[in-house]
Amino acid sequence: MKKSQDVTKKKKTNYLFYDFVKVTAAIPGLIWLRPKNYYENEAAKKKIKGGALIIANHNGFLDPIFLQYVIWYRRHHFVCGIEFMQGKGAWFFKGVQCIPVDRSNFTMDTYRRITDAMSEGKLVTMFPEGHINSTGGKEMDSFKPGMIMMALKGGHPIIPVYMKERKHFWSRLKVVVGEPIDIVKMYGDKPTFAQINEMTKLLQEKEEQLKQIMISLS
Amino acid sequence: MLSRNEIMDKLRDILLFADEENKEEIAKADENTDLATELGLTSVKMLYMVIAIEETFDIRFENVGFNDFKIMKDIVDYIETNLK
Repeated sequence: MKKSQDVTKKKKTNYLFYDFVKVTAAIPGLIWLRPKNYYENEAAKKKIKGGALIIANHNGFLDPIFLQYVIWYRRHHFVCGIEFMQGKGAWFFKGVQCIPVDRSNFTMDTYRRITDAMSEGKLVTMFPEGHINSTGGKEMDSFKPGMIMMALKGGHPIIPVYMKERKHFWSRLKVVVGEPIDIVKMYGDKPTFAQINEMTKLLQEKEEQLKQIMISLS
Repeated sequence: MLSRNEIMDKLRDILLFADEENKEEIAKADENTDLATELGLTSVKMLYMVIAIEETFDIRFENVGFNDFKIMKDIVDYIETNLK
């Protein structure tokens, strides 16, 4: 009873600015990027419904924009560094519904914002490398296991996406979308530290597999 | 009301379940044990532990960052304060 009252008290998310940006940028972005999606298999082609966590490799600062063109039919809630929410452009990141995370001093408030968003059926997107990768897109840096903890609560699927590094400003955006991964099915909802590390490794291997699919198609 | 020793026992139980590779260190942990250097608690392991604490003690960690907890005593203090 108390829980349902808490939920009704929550402020409804205002997507006015988000939708304005998305609609305004749609046509110029499609002309510029000419996105091409590949899929790991038939299961990966299914439209993502309800709460889920998208993870992707991080080649550059425009990746959040690119991902909007990959899964275009959903609103994304990007997990971004708290520094973006404190600078001059804070109004923009707040407006497009980013979720700030203090990487040097994590709080449960951040954890709850992410898990609550997924429980409300929203799509949360994060880059498990934690930063733009140090090789400029050639190799992926080690994934951080935080994403596992986010997806465990509520048993939300993780959808891996691999974005090919764009060599030029006018290069086409090419991505491979993987099939949703249900980590609760694999290890239950109370894994050990060792199992969390295994899952993190597994997700990184999945990203590598998607990269190989991209290489074989190119 | 739980005593500090009982809180410590429950914290050890949480860690013993989660960290199979570090059982010896956990078993001898006391209030002065350093979370990072002695128990090897990284930020994700801290997150795991805090989620488990919230479930076990039915409390909520609010307005605190994980950096606020350096040694076991800091966690026991927080639980004790919030159980009241």
